Amino acid sequence: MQHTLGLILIVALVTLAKTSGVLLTFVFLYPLFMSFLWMFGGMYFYWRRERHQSRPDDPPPLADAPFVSILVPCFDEAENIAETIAAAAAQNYPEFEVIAINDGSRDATAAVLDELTAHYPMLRVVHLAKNQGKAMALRMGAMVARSEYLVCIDGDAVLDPNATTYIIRPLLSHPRVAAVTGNPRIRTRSTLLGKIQVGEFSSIIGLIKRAQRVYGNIFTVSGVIVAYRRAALHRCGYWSLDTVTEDIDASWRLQVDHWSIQYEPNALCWILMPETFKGLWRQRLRWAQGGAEVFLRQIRPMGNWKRRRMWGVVVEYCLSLAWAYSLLYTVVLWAIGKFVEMPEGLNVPSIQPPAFWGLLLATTCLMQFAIALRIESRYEDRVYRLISWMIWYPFFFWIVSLLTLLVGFPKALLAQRGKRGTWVSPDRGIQSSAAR
Amino acid sequence: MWLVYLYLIREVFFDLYMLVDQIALWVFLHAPRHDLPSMFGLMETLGDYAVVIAVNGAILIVWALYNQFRFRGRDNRKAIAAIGPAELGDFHGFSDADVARWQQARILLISHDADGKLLAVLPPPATPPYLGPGAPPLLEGGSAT
Repeated sequence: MQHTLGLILIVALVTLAKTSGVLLTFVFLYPLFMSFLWMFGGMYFYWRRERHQSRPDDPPPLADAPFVSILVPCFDEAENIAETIAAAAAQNYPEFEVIAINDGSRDATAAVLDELTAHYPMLRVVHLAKNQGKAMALRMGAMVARSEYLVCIDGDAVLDPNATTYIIRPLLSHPRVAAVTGNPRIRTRSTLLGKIQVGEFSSIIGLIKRAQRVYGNIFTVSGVIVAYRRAALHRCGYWSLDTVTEDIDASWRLQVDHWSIQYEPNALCWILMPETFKGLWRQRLRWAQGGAEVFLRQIRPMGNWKRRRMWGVVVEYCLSLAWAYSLLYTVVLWAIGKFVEMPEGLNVPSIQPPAFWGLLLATTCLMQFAIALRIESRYEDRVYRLISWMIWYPFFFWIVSLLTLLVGFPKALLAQRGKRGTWVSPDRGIQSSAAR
Repeated sequence: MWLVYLYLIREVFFDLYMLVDQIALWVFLHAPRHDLPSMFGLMETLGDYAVVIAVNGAILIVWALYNQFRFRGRDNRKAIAAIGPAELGDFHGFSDADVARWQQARILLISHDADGKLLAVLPPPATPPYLGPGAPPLLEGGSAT
């Protein structure tokens, strides 16, 4: 099925390439129009859901505060896990447990966790005898958890004290909600790459999540901070073991089963992100490949009318894929045309963008940053300082996103189904400093 | 670094200069339209883009409002019963008593086979103490040199 779909995609793009003018217009205008769509969606979400909400440090009391299990899968996290557990244990929430799942770590993670149980009575530890991957670690955590409500964070994530209170609320209010994705903030800011990613998470990812919530479904939860309803996961078979991104996989399986996934921007957690190009590339390639794997597995049932509420996400993904490959084909046709006379329709005489395109794109970027920073200023003090670093974003991350999509999609097409997705610890940044 | 950035976006400055120049010609010198192709061309293009952007935005907002009013006060899905040890045991191939016991343990060791099937869940053997970052490496089996 995957190979057939890949072939169809290639034929479609070659056919489209025959009208090279249309392709070129699409390549230059797609980023512009998507940016405005995200801005509209982000502003609507803010106007409808956020502007009257309380601030992150002042949550309204919960009428009912059921017991919660905080799951912390970790692999080779000896350096960071103590800080993560301390933050999880310090939640402003009446009753909860913290379950750290040591996924066959090779360093001192196991010993550190066992020692921490003496300091934190709510801490429980599950050791996996061999590395099984994050999906299996989460499955084991879900199995031994005493609560129906699972708050899952990464092994190096530092939870805000009120994150649990905020993230659990939608699960309690609406029986149809299966998962709630929180708001990760970046704390690795010692290099230009780190600072740019802060801007990326603020101005792009936050806006996209809001916009996707407005059109009803989201592409993925943020695996670094997400709360689940265990019964919903159980119904969908929990996290797949053979995917490189268990969060994207879980998001689609839940939504295909007609569950709702909410976004709670007040549920903050502070995370480490790569600060080297190699680390960044590996991480983003994994995300791109994982997204493609899930898309290829789920595409067949998407034609069913019952799945229509996923069509917005599917169309958005298809457009981003088409954009990446259209740009590649345009450049390839232009390059070939330098050496060989190309037939009409396949001839791309120039890849010069339309007049004033650079100015339009720059203006659109600035508008997007301004809107995003205005919205995100609720969650991070002095976030406006970031604007001087965020303007680097178009150069680095559009290019990184483009390249990872070009490489990740074929990897997903050719990937062996059934191969277990085991864990590789990513680049944690040059300095891991506390956010506050 | 900033010089590199300015070099990369130099076309933007050139476009801006051309635009400002033509606006000034039009406003102050009342230059005829055919002498200002860039400015009027841009205005027409912006007009077309604005229409597309407005239509996209309107579709999004109308769709959001439609869902808001259609599902206001309604939850199509009834509350689902919480999952207990029986269901978890069924899923993993163990008894509900086993799962209930694991849910009370503070430390567990879990082993799987090569296909990811759960083999055993046990209390773990004693783990070596954490000696700190400067400690000598441990040998296999857990004893320090």
